[in-house]
Amino acid sequence: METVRLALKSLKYDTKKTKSYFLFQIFLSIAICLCCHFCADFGTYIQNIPGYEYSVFIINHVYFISQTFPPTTMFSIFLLFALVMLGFYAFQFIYQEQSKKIAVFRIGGVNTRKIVLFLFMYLLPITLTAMIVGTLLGFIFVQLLNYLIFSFSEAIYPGIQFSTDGIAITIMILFIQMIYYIILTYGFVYRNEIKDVLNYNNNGNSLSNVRILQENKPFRIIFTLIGLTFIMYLLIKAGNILSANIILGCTAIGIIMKTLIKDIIIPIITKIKRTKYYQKTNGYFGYSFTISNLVRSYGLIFVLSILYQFGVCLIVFFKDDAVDLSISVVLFLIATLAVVISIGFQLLTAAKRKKKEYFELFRIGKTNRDIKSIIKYDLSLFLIIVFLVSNIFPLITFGRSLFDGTITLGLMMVIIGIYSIELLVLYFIVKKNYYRIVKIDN
Amino acid sequence: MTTIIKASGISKQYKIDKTTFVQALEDINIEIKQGEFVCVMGASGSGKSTLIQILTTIDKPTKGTLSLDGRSKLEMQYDLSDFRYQNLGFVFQDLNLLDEYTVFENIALPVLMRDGKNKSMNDYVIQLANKLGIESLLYKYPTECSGGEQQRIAIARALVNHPKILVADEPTGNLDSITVKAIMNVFRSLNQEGTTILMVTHDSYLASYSDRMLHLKSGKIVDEIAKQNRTQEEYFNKITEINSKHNL
Repeated sequence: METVRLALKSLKYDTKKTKSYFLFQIFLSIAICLCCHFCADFGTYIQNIPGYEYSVFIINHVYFISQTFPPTTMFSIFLLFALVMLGFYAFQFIYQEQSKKIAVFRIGGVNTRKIVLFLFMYLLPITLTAMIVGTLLGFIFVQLLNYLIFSFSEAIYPGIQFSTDGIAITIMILFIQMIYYIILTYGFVYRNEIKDVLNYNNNGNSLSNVRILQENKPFRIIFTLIGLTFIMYLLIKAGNILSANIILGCTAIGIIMKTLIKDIIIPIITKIKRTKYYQKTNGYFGYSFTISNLVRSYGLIFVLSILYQFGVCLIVFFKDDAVDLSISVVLFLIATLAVVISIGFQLLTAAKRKKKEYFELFRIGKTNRDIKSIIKYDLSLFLIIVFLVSNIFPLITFGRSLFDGTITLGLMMVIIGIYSIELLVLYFIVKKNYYRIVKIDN
Repeated sequence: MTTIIKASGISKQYKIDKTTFVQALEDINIEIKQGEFVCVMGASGSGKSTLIQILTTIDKPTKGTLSLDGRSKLEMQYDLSDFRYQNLGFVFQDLNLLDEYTVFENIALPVLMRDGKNKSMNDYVIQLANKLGIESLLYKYPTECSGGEQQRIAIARALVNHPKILVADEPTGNLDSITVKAIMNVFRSLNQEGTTILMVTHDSYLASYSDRMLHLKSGKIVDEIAKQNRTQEEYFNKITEINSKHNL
């Protein structure tokens, strides 16, 4: 009981610090709710749309999904998986805030089980509240979306609908997410040496073992291969060769992009170290920020590029169909926003690790203005690389579609524009908070 | 007196990148008896903190064996938390007090987390607070206390689990001389009651409170001196002489 009381007292004290995690968790829950709706509830309202090409297959929606597996449903499943995994970055952010406490507990002889209980009780009220609020908002969005889709398709709106399957799947996914967080908590506490946690807290050094998935390459490869094989199996079984081609193409291009970032772009940026600006900032340009963040984030950029590419493919493919286009746009927004927010969390986590290096910059006489300028240029360069890398495959798709006349220049600009706005918003939020984090202790 | 810490051939290497390593400690052999007050001195980067961290199970050596209270670290690896709770108390240079908890909760934290609240713990925390002169602060928050008071809170927290070994890394930081003297007197009285003390410091005056001083240079023990029958002043002069020899 004392552990629970101490955890809740700590949470009350940290209310401001946990605000961003709370908001992200609400977003995740809304997104999960929408995706579950597209996975399970799709057939419920599609039956009511006259002349819809799949309606002949529908006896019930489970049968519908197993028989046809439309690309939007498949993308929803893929996105659900990605959303749960992305919770990791927000979680890591919160965990690092707690590193001092964990170090004190462990040195005082508190066992792993009690520390996990403490962290879990610390996270439970925010996570659970955010999940409930997010799920309720999600259901409101689902109803709103239903209404809009029926309006687009000029069908008769059947009124507010509740799908028991949709609710069941949403609850199940949220439950899986909670279990995932317990496993993550245990993993974080168990794998990190006290020395690392202490050094992280005192010097801003890296928590070397925190990045479980990032560092465990064989596990990551096996995990990706199993996931891909499963999706491909479902798609081919459902006879949806188009979706199979899209996912295969996106993954292949994603892997090429990852190689591009790791083996070509990062080495090129390393050479920027020799430029005039690098010398002006005593080596912090293109090193402290851009390279380390590219190295840290290339897994996320990889996920972002795949989700973005897939979203673009869906929008281009369904541009003439109001229902599928609406769903594709919503999924595109959820996917890109989720990864963009996760990249934001990761950059801010990196800011905490970089405090010491920025402190050195203050010591050699750099002013607040210089620091702001370094952050501004480095962050811009980083996001331009993210933007270019994730746009390589969509540009090929756009080029071909423009040539075929299947897409207009206007639609292409809108898609790229939405994505650019997301990255621009991320730029302003991260720039402001990054500077605040780096500046605080100096 | 029985041996409480025994380290044989301890080495520690830090990996900087794929090809570069830093040798933090090299072939360290130490034996510390129960009830001894040992002080570790050396310049910054000489490996003092690394040595203390290895001797107290916070870090792992690259090479060598460690035995604490007659048990090898291998034997303890499944219940290190229990071992730390029963045997070790830490005072850090940065204190690491938690601002959201009261002084009472900060002191009692390890016990509260492990066993919950109970009367004997409650009485012992009050007894410790009386001993360290912080009884009036128990229901205040660390941010409302002065540097010297915070230091004493950290010492009380290190002692709350009745440890056999008290480990202190630069325990007096930037405190004034009167507070330093008060804290060192607390250490001395604890030592006289049988607690083994292991302290890292740069200050020869603080080291003169110990029974034995080890001087570390580039990861090796280069000098060692015991107080024996010397007065504190003679011992202090001897320590200063050794430190001057090693440019500290």
